[in-house]
Amino acid sequence: MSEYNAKLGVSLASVLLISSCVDPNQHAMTIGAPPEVAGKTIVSMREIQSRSYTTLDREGLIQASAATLQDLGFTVGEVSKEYGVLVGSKERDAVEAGEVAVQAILVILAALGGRHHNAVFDETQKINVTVLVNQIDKKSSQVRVFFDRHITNNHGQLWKADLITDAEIYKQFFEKFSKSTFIEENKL
Amino acid sequence: MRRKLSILILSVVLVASVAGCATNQEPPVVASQKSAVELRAMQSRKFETADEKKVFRAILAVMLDLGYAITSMEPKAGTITGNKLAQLTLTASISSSDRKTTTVRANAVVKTNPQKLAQPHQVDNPEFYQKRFFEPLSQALFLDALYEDTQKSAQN
Repeated sequence: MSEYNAKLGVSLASVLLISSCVDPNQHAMTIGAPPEVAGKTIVSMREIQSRSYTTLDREGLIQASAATLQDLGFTVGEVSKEYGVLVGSKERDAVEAGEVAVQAILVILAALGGRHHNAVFDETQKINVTVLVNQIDKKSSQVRVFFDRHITNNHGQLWKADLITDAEIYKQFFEKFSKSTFIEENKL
Repeated sequence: MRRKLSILILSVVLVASVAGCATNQEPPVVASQKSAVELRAMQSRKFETADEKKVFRAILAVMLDLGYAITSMEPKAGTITGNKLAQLTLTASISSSDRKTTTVRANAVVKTNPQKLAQPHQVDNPEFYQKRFFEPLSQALFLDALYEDTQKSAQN
C-alpha cells in the first residue's frame, strides 16, 4: 500500500509539473500557425482584409488610411510612407453585462455556501490595427487591414488576446475608408 | 516511510512550481542554451535577390498572413517586429552582404500565456523558423530560402 502511495505521489507530481510547464517551442509552433477562418487559412483572411482601389495612388491611399483610423478613434503610432504601413491602437470598454451577471451570481452562490469567489471578467480591450498599402500596378493599389485585440480583466491583468476574424468589422472599416478616399480624391 | 517520502516529493514539487510563477516583475527572457552557430543557422536564410525593399514588403505581408500585428518597424535599419496573440513576438531583420543576395534573420520569443508575468522564452526549434516563417516568406517571394552556409544547404 505504501509503495502504491509513493507511486501515486510521484505520478501526481509529474502531472503537476507537466501541466505547469508547457514546452515553449511546442507552444510557439501552435501559436505561430496561420490563423483559420471557417476552416480556411491565409487566403480567406486576405480576402476579408483587402480591397483594391484605382481612384488614388499609394500616397493618397496612405493619407486616406490615416484619416480613417483617426475617424475611428485610433492613435496612429508607426507610419512608413515608403513601405505603405500604418500601425495604430485604441482602448475600449470590454465589459459585457452577461459576463458580469454570471460572475455576480457565482459570488452570491459562493457566499451562500460560505466560500469566496473571486469575480473575474473582461474590463478593457486594446484594439491594434495594421494597414498595408501596396501598389499592384500603375493604376491600382491594394489596401489590407488587420485587427487584433488584447483584453484586460477587472484585476488589471492582460488575460486574453484574439485576432479579429469577423468579416463584418472589416466591411465596416472599408465603408469608412471609401468615404475617406472620396474626400481625399476630391480634396474636400 | 515511503508515504512520508511521497508527501515530501509532492510538497517540494508544489513549492517549486509556485515559486516559478510568483514574482511581481516582468520576468526576463530565458535565452536559448544552443550555440550561437546553431541559432544563426536556424534563424537566417539567404534569398537570391538584391531588392531589399521587395523582401521588406514580403516580410510585412507574410507576418500579416500569419496573424502578427506589426508593433514596430525601422525601414532604414531593416527591422520589423510583430506580436501574435500577446504571446509570440517575432523580429525580422534584413541585410545584404553582397549585390546578389539579401539575408533575413528572424528571432522569436514566446510566452505560454498572454499575462504580463508569464516567462518569455527564446524559440530555438529549427522547425518553427522553417515552417512558421521562412517557408511562407519563400512562397511570397517566389524564391528559395537558402541556408547561409553552403555546406548546410548541401546537407539539407
